[in-house]
Amino acid sequence: MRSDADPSTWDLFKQGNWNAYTSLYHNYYSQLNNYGYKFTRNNNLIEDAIHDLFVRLWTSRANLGNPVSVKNYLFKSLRNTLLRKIKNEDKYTGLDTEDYPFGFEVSYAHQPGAGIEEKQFSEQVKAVINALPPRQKEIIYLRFYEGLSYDEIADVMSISTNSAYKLLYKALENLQQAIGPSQLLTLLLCLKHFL
Amino acid sequence: MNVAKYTDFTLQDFLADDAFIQWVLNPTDESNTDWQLLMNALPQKVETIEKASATIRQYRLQNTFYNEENKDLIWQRIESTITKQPAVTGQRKIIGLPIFAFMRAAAAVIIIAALSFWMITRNTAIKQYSFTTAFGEIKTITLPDQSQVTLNGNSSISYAAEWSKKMVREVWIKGEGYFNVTHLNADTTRIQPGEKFVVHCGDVNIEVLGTTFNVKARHGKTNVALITGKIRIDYTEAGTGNKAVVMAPGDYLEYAAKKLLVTKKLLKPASISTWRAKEISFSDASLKEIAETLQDSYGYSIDIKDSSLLSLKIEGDISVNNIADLLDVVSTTLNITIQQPADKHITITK
Repeated sequence: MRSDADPSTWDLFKQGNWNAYTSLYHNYYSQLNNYGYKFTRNNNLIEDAIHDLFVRLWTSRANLGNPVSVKNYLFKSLRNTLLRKIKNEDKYTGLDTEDYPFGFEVSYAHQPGAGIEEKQFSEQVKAVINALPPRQKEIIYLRFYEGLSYDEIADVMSISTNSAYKLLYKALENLQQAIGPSQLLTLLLCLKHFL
Repeated sequence: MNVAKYTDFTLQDFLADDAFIQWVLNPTDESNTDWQLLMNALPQKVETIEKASATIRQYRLQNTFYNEENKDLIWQRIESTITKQPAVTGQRKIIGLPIFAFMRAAAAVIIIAALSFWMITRNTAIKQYSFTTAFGEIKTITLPDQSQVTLNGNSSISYAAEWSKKMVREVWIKGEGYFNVTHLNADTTRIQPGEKFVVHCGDVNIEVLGTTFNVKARHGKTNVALITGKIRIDYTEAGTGNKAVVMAPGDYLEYAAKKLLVTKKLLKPASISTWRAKEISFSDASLKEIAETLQDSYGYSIDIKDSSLLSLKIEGDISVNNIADLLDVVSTTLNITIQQPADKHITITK
Protein backbone atom coordinates (compact mmCIF):
# COMPACT_ATOMS: atom_id res chain seq x y z
CA MET A 1 0.00 0.00 0.00
CA ARG A 2 1.03 3.52 -0.65
CA SER A 3 -0.05 4.91 2.66
CA ASP A 4 3.53 4.88 3.98
CA ALA A 5 4.58 7.46 1.44
CA ASP A 6 1.62 9.67 2.16
CA PRO A 7 2.66 11.86 5.08
CA SER A 8 5.66 13.26 3.26
CA THR A 9 3.70 13.72 0.02
CA TRP A 10 1.08 15.51 2.06
CA ASP A 11 3.67 17.80 3.65
CA LEU A 12 5.24 18.62 0.31
CA PHE A 13 1.82 19.31 -1.15
CA LYS A 14 0.95 21.66 1.69
CA GLN A 15 4.13 23.60 0.94
CA GLY A 16 2.81 24.10 -2.57
CA ASN A 17 4.74 21.36 -4.34
CA TRP A 18 2.85 20.77 -7.59
CA ASN A 19 4.30 17.30 -8.16
CA ALA A 20 3.16 16.15 -4.77
CA TYR A 21 -0.31 17.50 -5.51
CA THR A 22 -0.37 15.71 -8.88
CA SER A 23 0.65 12.46 -7.27
CA LEU A 24 -2.17 12.72 -4.73
CA TYR A 25 -4.55 12.94 -7.67
CA HIS A 26 -2.99 9.98 -9.45
CA ASN A 27 -2.85 7.81 -6.35
CA TYR A 28 -6.40 8.31 -5.24
CA TYR A 29 -8.33 9.03 -8.44
CA SER A 30 -9.59 5.50 -9.09
CA GLN A 31 -10.44 4.68 -5.47
CA LEU A 32 -12.41 7.92 -5.19
CA ASN A 33 -14.34 7.20 -8.39
CA ASN A 34 -15.11 3.71 -7.20
CA TYR A 35 -16.39 4.97 -3.86
CA GLY A 36 -18.41 7.75 -5.49
CA TYR A 37 -20.02 5.34 -7.91
CA LYS A 38 -21.65 3.53 -5.00
CA PHE A 39 -23.69 6.64 -4.25
CA THR A 40 -24.76 7.61 -7.75
CA ARG A 41 -24.59 6.25 -11.25
CA ASN A 42 -24.33 9.80 -12.54
CA ASN A 43 -20.67 10.00 -13.62
CA ASN A 44 -20.85 13.75 -14.08
CA LEU A 45 -21.69 14.31 -10.46
CA ILE A 46 -18.78 12.15 -9.38
CA GLU A 47 -16.43 13.92 -11.76
CA ASP A 48 -17.66 17.33 -10.59
CA ALA A 49 -17.18 16.28 -6.97
CA ILE A 50 -13.61 15.10 -7.66
CA HIS A 51 -12.90 18.32 -9.52
CA ASP A 52 -14.27 20.46 -6.68
CA LEU A 53 -12.48 18.38 -4.07
CA PHE A 54 -9.06 18.79 -5.69
CA VAL A 55 -9.53 22.45 -6.52
CA ARG A 56 -10.48 23.14 -2.92
CA LEU A 57 -7.56 21.05 -1.72
CA TRP A 58 -5.15 23.24 -3.65
CA THR A 59 -6.70 26.61 -2.86
CA SER A 60 -6.96 25.91 0.86
CA ARG A 61 -3.70 23.94 1.22
CA ALA A 62 -2.24 26.51 3.59
CA ASN A 63 -5.04 25.94 6.10
CA LEU A 64 -5.07 22.15 6.02
CA GLY A 65 -4.04 20.15 9.05
CA ASN A 66 -2.37 16.77 9.20
CA PRO A 67 -5.03 14.12 8.88
CA VAL A 68 -4.42 10.69 10.40
CA SER A 69 -4.53 9.27 6.93
CA VAL A 70 -4.67 11.08 3.61
CA LYS A 71 -6.97 8.47 2.17
CA ASN A 72 -9.40 9.01 5.00
CA TYR A 73 -9.35 12.73 4.52
CA LEU A 74 -10.01 12.42 0.78
CA PHE A 75 -12.76 9.82 1.22
CA LYS A 76 -14.51 11.99 3.75
CA SER A 77 -14.26 15.13 1.61
CA LEU A 78 -15.50 13.32 -1.47
CA ARG A 79 -18.40 11.86 0.45
CA ASN A 80 -19.48 15.25 1.79
CA THR A 81 -19.08 17.01 -1.55
CA LEU A 82 -20.87 14.32 -3.48
CA LEU A 83 -23.78 13.93 -1.08
CA ARG A 84 -24.29 17.69 -1.16
CA LYS A 85 -24.32 17.61 -4.95
CA ILE A 86 -26.75 14.73 -5.06
CA LYS A 87 -29.09 16.56 -2.72
CA ASN A 88 -28.84 19.79 -4.71
CA GLU A 89 -29.34 18.09 -8.00
CA ASP A 90 -32.44 16.49 -6.65
CA LYS A 91 -33.95 19.72 -5.42
CA TYR A 92 -32.92 21.53 -8.54
CA THR A 93 -34.49 19.44 -11.25
CA GLY A 94 -37.39 17.93 -9.43
CA LEU A 95 -36.87 14.89 -11.61
CA ASP A 96 -37.11 11.44 -10.15
CA THR A 97 -36.54 10.99 -6.47
CA GLU A 98 -36.28 7.21 -6.50
CA ASP A 99 -32.50 6.94 -6.25
CA TYR A 100 -32.23 9.51 -3.51
CA PRO A 101 -31.36 10.66 -1.00
CA PHE A 102 -28.46 8.32 -0.37
CA GLY A 103 -28.46 4.99 -2.00
CA PHE A 104 -25.36 2.84 -1.78
CA GLU A 105 -25.17 0.16 -4.43
CA VAL A 106 -22.71 -2.62 -4.91
CA SER A 107 -23.03 -4.50 -8.17
CA TYR A 108 -21.72 -7.83 -9.37
CA ALA A 109 -21.13 -9.03 -12.85
CA HIS A 110 -22.05 -12.54 -13.81
CA GLN A 111 -19.29 -14.84 -12.60
CA PRO A 112 -18.72 -17.84 -14.79
CA GLY A 113 -17.20 -21.11 -13.69
CA ALA A 114 -17.15 -22.22 -10.06
CA GLY A 115 -18.93 -25.22 -8.64
CA ILE A 116 -22.57 -25.34 -7.67
CA GLU A 117 -21.80 -24.89 -4.01
CA GLU A 118 -19.57 -21.92 -4.62
CA LYS A 119 -22.16 -20.35 -6.88
CA GLN A 120 -24.82 -20.85 -4.29
CA PHE A 121 -22.62 -19.24 -1.70
CA SER A 122 -21.82 -16.29 -3.91
CA GLU A 123 -25.53 -15.79 -4.63
CA GLN A 124 -26.19 -15.84 -0.90
CA VAL A 125 -23.58 -13.18 -0.23
CA LYS A 126 -24.86 -10.97 -3.03
CA ALA A 127 -28.47 -11.35 -1.93
CA VAL A 128 -27.82 -10.46 1.67
CA ILE A 129 -25.58 -7.52 0.76
CA ASN A 130 -28.16 -6.12 -1.63
CA ALA A 131 -30.87 -6.38 1.00
CA LEU A 132 -28.96 -4.29 3.56
CA PRO A 133 -29.98 -0.66 4.17
CA PRO A 134 -27.65 1.88 2.46
CA ARG A 135 -25.64 2.84 5.54
CA GLN A 136 -24.99 -0.79 6.42
CA LYS A 137 -23.92 -1.39 2.83
CA GLU A 138 -21.56 1.54 3.08
CA ILE A 139 -19.92 0.44 6.30
CA ILE A 140 -19.42 -3.08 4.90
CA TYR A 141 -17.75 -1.51 1.88
CA LEU A 142 -15.42 0.67 3.92
CA ARG A 143 -14.56 -2.29 6.12
CA PHE A 144 -14.23 -5.22 3.72
CA TYR A 145 -13.26 -3.40 0.57
CA GLU A 146 -11.25 -0.43 1.75
CA GLY A 147 -10.05 -2.08 4.96
CA LEU A 148 -10.65 0.98 7.13
CA SER A 149 -10.59 0.76 10.92
CA TYR A 150 -13.58 1.68 13.09
CA ASP A 151 -12.05 5.08 13.85
CA GLU A 152 -11.43 5.78 10.21
CA ILE A 153 -14.94 4.68 9.23
CA ALA A 154 -16.43 6.88 11.94
CA ASP A 155 -14.45 9.82 10.57
CA VAL A 156 -15.46 9.23 6.93
CA MET A 157 -19.13 8.72 7.71
CA SER A 158 -19.19 11.54 10.29
CA ILE A 159 -20.50 9.35 13.09
CA SER A 160 -19.02 8.41 16.48
CA THR A 161 -16.75 5.38 16.77
CA ASN A 162 -19.35 3.83 18.99
CA SER A 163 -22.03 4.24 16.31
CA ALA A 164 -19.65 2.75 13.77
CA TYR A 165 -19.32 -0.36 15.97
CA LYS A 166 -23.06 -0.61 16.33
CA LEU A 167 -23.74 -0.08 12.65
CA LEU A 168 -21.23 -2.71 11.58
CA TYR A 169 -22.57 -5.07 14.22
CA LYS A 170 -26.07 -4.74 12.76
CA ALA A 171 -24.83 -5.37 9.24
CA LEU A 172 -22.80 -8.40 10.34
CA GLU A 173 -25.76 -9.77 12.23
CA ASN A 174 -27.71 -9.74 9.00
CA LEU A 175 -24.85 -11.47 7.22
CA GLN A 176 -24.54 -14.06 9.95
CA GLN A 177 -28.25 -14.84 9.80
CA ALA A 178 -28.14 -15.36 6.09
CA ILE A 179 -24.95 -17.36 5.72
CA GLY A 180 -23.89 -18.36 9.22
CA PRO A 181 -25.68 -21.58 10.06
CA SER A 182 -24.07 -23.60 7.32
CA GLN A 183 -24.87 -27.21 8.19
CA LEU A 184 -28.44 -26.37 8.96
CA LEU A 185 -28.84 -24.63 5.65
CA THR A 186 -27.32 -27.41 3.55
CA LEU A 187 -29.48 -29.83 5.42
CA LEU A 188 -32.60 -27.85 4.67
CA LEU A 189 -31.64 -27.61 1.04
CA CYS A 190 -31.15 -31.37 0.88
CA LEU A 191 -34.47 -32.00 2.51
CA LYS A 192 -36.15 -29.77 -0.02
CA HIS A 193 -34.88 -31.99 -2.80
CA PHE A 194 -36.45 -35.04 -1.21
CA LEU A 195 -39.80 -33.48 -0.54
CA MET B 1 -1.60 -14.73 19.02
CA ASN B 2 -4.19 -14.98 21.74
CA VAL B 3 -5.88 -18.32 21.06
CA ALA B 4 -8.26 -18.07 24.02
CA LYS B 5 -9.79 -14.92 22.54
CA TYR B 6 -11.04 -16.85 19.53
CA THR B 7 -12.38 -20.04 21.13
CA ASP B 8 -15.99 -18.85 21.18
CA PHE B 9 -15.88 -16.72 18.06
CA THR B 10 -18.81 -16.92 15.65
CA LEU B 11 -18.74 -16.01 11.98
CA GLN B 12 -19.92 -12.55 12.91
CA ASP B 13 -17.16 -12.12 15.47
CA PHE B 14 -14.46 -13.00 12.96
CA LEU B 15 -15.93 -10.56 10.47
CA ALA B 16 -15.74 -7.83 13.08
CA ASP B 17 -12.18 -8.63 14.14
CA ASP B 18 -9.44 -6.23 13.02
CA ALA B 19 -6.65 -8.81 12.95
CA PHE B 20 -8.80 -11.20 10.95
CA ILE B 21 -9.71 -8.60 8.32
CA GLN B 22 -6.13 -7.41 8.03
CA TRP B 23 -5.07 -11.00 7.38
CA VAL B 24 -7.71 -11.59 4.69
CA LEU B 25 -7.15 -8.25 2.95
CA ASN B 26 -3.36 -8.10 3.16
CA PRO B 27 -1.96 -11.49 4.11
CA THR B 28 1.72 -11.54 5.05
CA ASP B 29 3.98 -14.52 5.78
CA GLU B 30 3.69 -13.69 9.42
CA SER B 31 -0.09 -13.48 9.55
CA ASN B 32 -0.43 -16.64 7.45
CA THR B 33 1.63 -18.53 10.00
CA ASP B 34 -0.28 -17.01 12.91
CA TRP B 35 -3.65 -17.98 11.55
CA GLN B 36 -2.49 -21.43 10.53
CA LEU B 37 -1.31 -22.00 14.11
CA LEU B 38 -4.62 -20.76 15.41
CA MET B 39 -6.55 -23.12 13.16
CA ASN B 40 -4.36 -26.02 14.34
CA ALA B 41 -5.15 -25.10 17.92
CA LEU B 42 -8.88 -24.65 17.28
CA PRO B 43 -9.88 -27.23 14.65
CA GLN B 44 -13.56 -26.72 15.46
CA LYS B 45 -13.21 -23.12 14.21
CA VAL B 46 -11.66 -23.93 10.85
CA GLU B 47 -14.95 -24.06 8.98
CA THR B 48 -16.12 -20.75 10.44
CA ILE B 49 -12.80 -19.08 9.64
CA GLU B 50 -12.88 -20.35 6.09
CA LYS B 51 -16.43 -19.24 5.67
CA ALA B 52 -15.66 -15.78 7.03
CA SER B 53 -12.71 -15.30 4.71
CA ALA B 54 -14.72 -16.65 1.75
CA THR B 55 -17.44 -14.13 2.56
CA ILE B 56 -15.00 -11.24 2.41
CA ARG B 57 -13.34 -12.50 -0.76
CA GLN B 58 -16.71 -13.05 -2.38
CA TYR B 59 -17.83 -9.58 -1.37
CA ARG B 60 -14.72 -8.07 -2.92
CA LEU B 61 -15.43 -9.58 -6.33
CA GLN B 62 -17.79 -6.67 -6.98
CA ASN B 63 -17.73 -4.49 -10.09
CA THR B 64 -15.42 -1.51 -10.03
CA PHE B 65 -15.72 1.95 -11.49
CA TYR B 66 -12.29 3.51 -11.95
CA ASN B 67 -13.26 5.92 -14.72
CA GLU B 68 -9.69 5.79 -16.10
CA GLU B 69 -10.76 7.12 -19.50
CA ASN B 70 -11.63 10.50 -17.99
CA LYS B 71 -8.68 10.77 -15.65
CA ASP B 72 -6.69 13.16 -17.84
CA LEU B 73 -9.72 15.21 -18.78
CA ILE B 74 -10.73 15.84 -15.19
CA TRP B 75 -7.15 16.71 -14.32
CA GLN B 76 -7.11 19.27 -17.12
CA ARG B 77 -10.32 20.74 -15.72
CA ILE B 78 -8.79 20.95 -12.26
CA GLU B 79 -5.66 22.60 -13.61
CA SER B 80 -7.56 25.15 -15.64
CA THR B 81 -9.87 26.00 -12.74
CA ILE B 82 -6.87 26.52 -10.47
CA THR B 83 -4.93 28.63 -12.92
CA LYS B 84 -7.73 31.00 -13.81
CA GLN B 85 -9.18 31.33 -10.39
CA PRO B 86 -8.76 34.86 -9.06
CA ALA B 87 -11.13 34.28 -6.16
CA VAL B 88 -13.43 31.39 -5.59
CA THR B 89 -16.97 32.44 -6.39
CA GLY B 90 -20.06 30.33 -6.29
CA GLN B 91 -20.57 30.45 -10.03
CA ARG B 92 -22.96 27.58 -10.33
CA LYS B 93 -25.04 28.51 -7.37
CA ILE B 94 -26.08 31.73 -9.01
CA ILE B 95 -27.83 29.90 -11.81
CA GLY B 96 -29.69 27.87 -9.26
CA LEU B 97 -31.35 30.76 -7.46
CA PRO B 98 -34.99 30.99 -8.50
CA ILE B 99 -34.80 34.75 -8.97
CA PHE B 100 -31.95 34.48 -11.42
CA ALA B 101 -33.65 31.63 -13.22
CA PHE B 102 -36.67 33.83 -13.61
CA MET B 103 -34.59 36.71 -14.90
CA ARG B 104 -32.88 34.46 -17.34
CA ALA B 105 -36.24 33.22 -18.55
CA ALA B 106 -37.44 36.78 -18.95
CA ALA B 107 -34.28 37.77 -20.76
CA ALA B 108 -34.57 34.81 -23.09
CA VAL B 109 -38.12 35.64 -24.02
CA ILE B 110 -37.25 39.24 -24.76
CA ILE B 111 -34.20 38.32 -26.75
CA ILE B 112 -36.01 35.72 -28.80
CA ALA B 113 -38.95 38.01 -29.36
CA ALA B 114 -36.65 40.84 -30.40
CA LEU B 115 -34.65 38.53 -32.56
CA SER B 116 -37.63 37.17 -34.44
CA PHE B 117 -38.76 40.72 -35.13
CA TRP B 118 -35.31 41.50 -36.43
CA MET B 119 -35.32 38.39 -38.55
CA ILE B 120 -38.68 39.19 -40.07
CA THR B 121 -37.58 42.68 -41.02
CA ARG B 122 -34.30 41.43 -42.42
CA ASN B 123 -35.81 38.33 -43.85
CA THR B 124 -34.24 38.58 -47.26
CA ALA B 125 -30.74 39.19 -45.97
CA ILE B 126 -30.40 36.01 -43.93
CA LYS B 127 -29.52 32.83 -45.67
CA GLN B 128 -30.76 29.62 -44.11
CA TYR B 129 -28.95 26.33 -44.32
CA SER B 130 -30.85 23.12 -43.98
CA PHE B 131 -29.84 19.48 -44.06
CA THR B 132 -31.98 16.37 -44.22
CA THR B 133 -30.89 12.79 -43.75
CA ALA B 134 -32.43 9.82 -45.57
CA PHE B 135 -33.62 6.71 -43.77
CA GLY B 136 -30.71 4.91 -42.18
CA GLU B 137 -28.32 7.79 -42.90
CA ILE B 138 -26.34 9.38 -40.09
CA LYS B 139 -24.67 12.69 -40.67
CA THR B 140 -22.62 15.05 -38.54
CA ILE B 141 -22.90 18.75 -39.25
CA THR B 142 -20.63 21.45 -37.91
CA LEU B 143 -22.51 24.63 -37.12
CA PRO B 144 -21.03 28.11 -37.65
CA ASP B 145 -19.83 28.24 -34.02
CA GLN B 146 -18.07 24.85 -34.36
CA SER B 147 -20.78 23.12 -32.34
CA GLN B 148 -21.65 19.75 -33.77
CA VAL B 149 -24.92 18.02 -34.43
CA THR B 150 -25.21 14.41 -35.42
CA LEU B 151 -28.49 13.75 -37.18
CA ASN B 152 -30.07 10.33 -37.02
CA GLY B 153 -31.88 8.92 -40.09
CA ASN B 154 -34.96 10.72 -41.43
CA SER B 155 -34.22 13.95 -39.60
CA SER B 156 -33.61 17.54 -40.56
CA ILE B 157 -32.07 20.68 -39.21
CA SER B 158 -32.04 24.29 -40.28
CA TYR B 159 -30.20 27.37 -39.07
CA ALA B 160 -28.95 30.74 -40.22
CA ALA B 161 -25.88 30.55 -42.43
CA GLU B 162 -24.03 33.16 -40.44
CA TRP B 163 -23.97 33.58 -36.70
CA SER B 164 -22.81 36.75 -35.08
CA LYS B 165 -21.56 37.20 -31.55
CA LYS B 166 -24.52 39.42 -30.77
CA MET B 167 -27.07 36.88 -31.82
CA VAL B 168 -28.58 33.92 -30.04
CA ARG B 169 -27.46 30.74 -31.75
CA GLU B 170 -30.63 29.03 -32.94
CA VAL B 171 -31.40 25.80 -34.73
CA TRP B 172 -34.62 24.08 -35.68
CA ILE B 173 -34.68 20.31 -35.68
CA LYS B 174 -37.09 17.57 -36.72
CA GLY B 175 -36.43 13.92 -35.96
CA GLU B 176 -33.50 13.01 -33.75
CA GLY B 177 -30.16 14.68 -33.14
CA TYR B 178 -27.23 14.57 -30.77
CA PHE B 179 -25.77 17.96 -29.91
CA ASN B 180 -22.33 18.84 -28.75
CA VAL B 181 -22.53 22.55 -28.12
CA THR B 182 -19.44 24.73 -27.92
CA HIS B 183 -19.24 26.57 -24.65
CA LEU B 184 -18.76 30.28 -25.24
CA ASN B 185 -19.72 31.59 -21.87
CA ALA B 186 -16.97 32.43 -19.41
CA ASP B 187 -19.00 34.25 -16.82
CA THR B 188 -22.27 32.52 -15.96
CA THR B 189 -23.54 35.57 -14.12
CA ARG B 190 -23.57 37.66 -17.28
CA ILE B 191 -24.71 35.69 -20.28
CA GLN B 192 -24.35 37.47 -23.58
CA PRO B 193 -26.93 36.76 -26.28
CA GLY B 194 -24.31 35.14 -28.50
CA GLU B 195 -23.45 32.76 -25.74
CA LYS B 196 -26.95 31.35 -25.77
CA PHE B 197 -27.81 28.37 -27.86
CA VAL B 198 -31.44 27.49 -28.43
CA VAL B 199 -32.76 24.35 -30.08
CA HIS B 200 -36.34 24.55 -31.30
CA CYS B 201 -37.89 21.16 -31.43
CA GLY B 202 -41.61 20.75 -31.90
CA ASP B 203 -43.17 23.15 -29.41
CA VAL B 204 -40.32 22.76 -26.95
CA ASN B 205 -37.35 25.10 -26.76
CA ILE B 206 -34.10 23.92 -25.29
CA GLU B 207 -31.72 26.53 -24.01
CA VAL B 208 -28.14 25.56 -23.63
CA LEU B 209 -24.88 26.97 -22.37
CA GLY B 210 -22.43 24.30 -23.42
CA THR B 211 -23.29 20.71 -23.27
CA THR B 212 -24.06 17.41 -24.94
CA PHE B 213 -27.56 16.06 -25.20
CA ASN B 214 -29.85 14.00 -27.34
CA VAL B 215 -33.18 15.28 -28.61
CA LYS B 216 -35.83 13.32 -30.43
CA ALA B 217 -39.14 14.57 -31.81
CA ARG B 218 -41.24 11.92 -33.48
CA HIS B 219 -44.92 10.98 -33.41
CA GLY B 220 -45.79 14.27 -31.77
CA LYS B 221 -43.62 13.36 -28.82
CA THR B 222 -40.35 15.10 -27.91
CA ASN B 223 -37.78 13.51 -25.69
CA VAL B 224 -34.58 15.03 -24.42
CA ALA B 225 -31.71 13.29 -22.66
CA LEU B 226 -28.91 15.37 -21.18
CA ILE B 227 -25.50 13.78 -21.17
CA THR B 228 -23.26 16.54 -19.84
CA GLY B 229 -23.69 20.16 -18.85
CA LYS B 230 -26.93 21.90 -18.09
CA ILE B 231 -29.93 22.90 -20.17
CA ARG B 232 -33.26 24.52 -19.63
CA ILE B 233 -36.39 23.32 -21.37
CA ASP B 234 -39.13 25.86 -22.02
CA TYR B 235 -42.48 24.38 -22.87
CA THR B 236 -46.15 25.20 -22.62
CA GLU B 237 -48.36 23.18 -20.38
CA ALA B 238 -52.06 22.87 -21.02
CA GLY B 239 -53.87 24.99 -18.42
CA THR B 240 -50.90 26.62 -16.72
CA GLY B 241 -49.09 28.14 -19.68
CA ASN B 242 -45.36 28.64 -20.02
CA LYS B 243 -43.17 26.45 -17.90
CA ALA B 244 -39.51 25.63 -17.63
CA VAL B 245 -37.49 22.83 -16.18
CA VAL B 246 -33.73 22.72 -15.67
CA MET B 247 -32.12 19.43 -16.53
CA ALA B 248 -28.97 18.01 -14.98
CA PRO B 249 -26.75 15.36 -16.53
CA GLY B 250 -28.45 12.00 -16.73
CA ASP B 251 -31.94 13.51 -16.74
CA TYR B 252 -34.42 12.38 -19.32
CA LEU B 253 -37.82 13.79 -20.14
CA GLU B 254 -40.64 13.19 -22.56
CA TYR B 255 -43.14 15.79 -23.63
CA ALA B 256 -46.24 15.44 -25.75
CA ALA B 257 -49.66 16.98 -26.11
CA LYS B 258 -48.59 19.96 -24.03
CA LYS B 259 -47.67 17.87 -21.00
CA LEU B 260 -44.52 16.47 -19.44
CA LEU B 261 -45.11 12.73 -19.60
CA VAL B 262 -41.98 11.17 -18.21
CA THR B 263 -39.14 12.56 -16.15
CA LYS B 264 -36.50 10.23 -14.88
CA LYS B 265 -32.81 9.66 -14.43
CA LEU B 266 -31.06 7.49 -16.97
CA LEU B 267 -28.69 4.90 -15.61
CA LYS B 268 -26.51 5.16 -18.68
CA PRO B 269 -27.18 8.55 -20.29
CA ALA B 270 -24.53 8.08 -22.95
CA SER B 271 -26.18 4.95 -24.27
CA ILE B 272 -29.15 6.95 -25.57
CA SER B 273 -26.97 8.30 -28.35
CA THR B 274 -25.19 5.11 -29.35
CA TRP B 275 -27.00 5.33 -32.68
CA ARG B 276 -24.26 7.80 -33.62
CA ALA B 277 -21.79 4.93 -33.91
CA LYS B 278 -24.14 3.31 -36.43
CA GLU B 279 -24.77 0.89 -33.74
CA ILE B 280 -28.36 0.02 -33.06
CA SER B 281 -28.95 -0.14 -29.37
CA PHE B 282 -31.79 -0.28 -26.90
CA SER B 283 -32.07 -0.47 -23.17
CA ASP B 284 -35.07 -2.22 -21.57
CA ALA B 285 -37.01 -1.54 -24.77
CA SER B 286 -40.51 -2.64 -25.63
CA LEU B 287 -41.30 -4.10 -29.04
CA LYS B 288 -43.20 -0.89 -29.70
CA GLU B 289 -40.09 1.24 -29.26
CA ILE B 290 -38.05 -1.07 -31.43
CA ALA B 291 -40.70 -1.04 -34.16
CA GLU B 292 -40.89 2.75 -34.03
CA THR B 293 -37.16 3.11 -34.41
CA LEU B 294 -37.21 0.78 -37.41
CA GLN B 295 -39.92 2.92 -38.99
CA ASP B 296 -38.55 6.30 -38.07
CA SER B 297 -34.83 5.94 -38.58
CA TYR B 298 -34.64 3.17 -41.14
CA GLY B 299 -37.86 3.56 -43.15
CA TYR B 300 -39.31 0.13 -42.50
CA SER B 301 -43.01 -0.59 -42.65
CA ILE B 302 -44.16 -2.98 -40.00
CA ASP B 303 -47.28 -5.12 -39.68
CA ILE B 304 -48.23 -6.31 -36.25
CA LYS B 305 -51.72 -7.82 -36.23
CA ASP B 306 -51.72 -8.72 -32.57
CA SER B 307 -51.22 -5.40 -30.81
CA SER B 308 -50.64 -7.11 -27.46
CA LEU B 309 -47.21 -8.04 -28.79
CA LEU B 310 -46.23 -4.37 -28.75
CA SER B 311 -45.91 -4.29 -25.01
CA LEU B 312 -43.45 -7.21 -24.89
CA LYS B 313 -40.24 -5.99 -23.36
CA ILE B 314 -36.63 -7.01 -23.67
CA GLU B 315 -34.91 -6.52 -20.35
CA GLY B 316 -31.37 -5.23 -20.44
CA ASP B 317 -29.28 -3.85 -23.27
CA ILE B 318 -29.25 -4.76 -26.93
CA SER B 319 -26.45 -3.53 -29.12
CA VAL B 320 -26.07 -4.74 -32.69
CA ASN B 321 -24.51 -3.49 -35.91
CA ASN B 322 -27.29 -4.11 -38.38
CA ILE B 323 -31.01 -4.63 -38.74
CA ALA B 324 -30.72 -8.35 -39.52
CA ASP B 325 -28.96 -8.96 -36.20
CA LEU B 326 -31.51 -6.84 -34.40
CA LEU B 327 -34.39 -8.88 -35.83
CA ASP B 328 -32.60 -12.08 -34.83
CA VAL B 329 -32.18 -10.92 -31.26
CA VAL B 330 -35.76 -9.69 -31.02
CA SER B 331 -37.35 -12.82 -32.44
CA THR B 332 -35.33 -15.22 -30.32
CA THR B 333 -35.61 -13.24 -27.09
CA LEU B 334 -39.32 -12.55 -27.35
CA ASN B 335 -40.04 -15.87 -29.01
CA ILE B 336 -41.99 -14.31 -31.87
CA THR B 337 -41.88 -14.84 -35.63
CA ILE B 338 -40.51 -12.05 -37.78
CA GLN B 339 -40.85 -12.35 -41.53
CA GLN B 340 -39.62 -10.07 -44.25
CA PRO B 341 -41.85 -10.57 -47.32
CA ALA B 342 -40.30 -7.58 -49.10
CA ASP B 343 -37.36 -5.26 -48.63
CA LYS B 344 -38.00 -2.92 -45.70
CA HIS B 345 -41.26 -4.63 -44.95
CA ILE B 346 -41.69 -6.75 -41.85
CA THR B 347 -44.50 -8.78 -40.36
CA ILE B 348 -44.44 -9.80 -36.73
CA THR B 349 -46.57 -12.66 -35.42
CA LYS B 350 -46.64 -14.96 -32.44
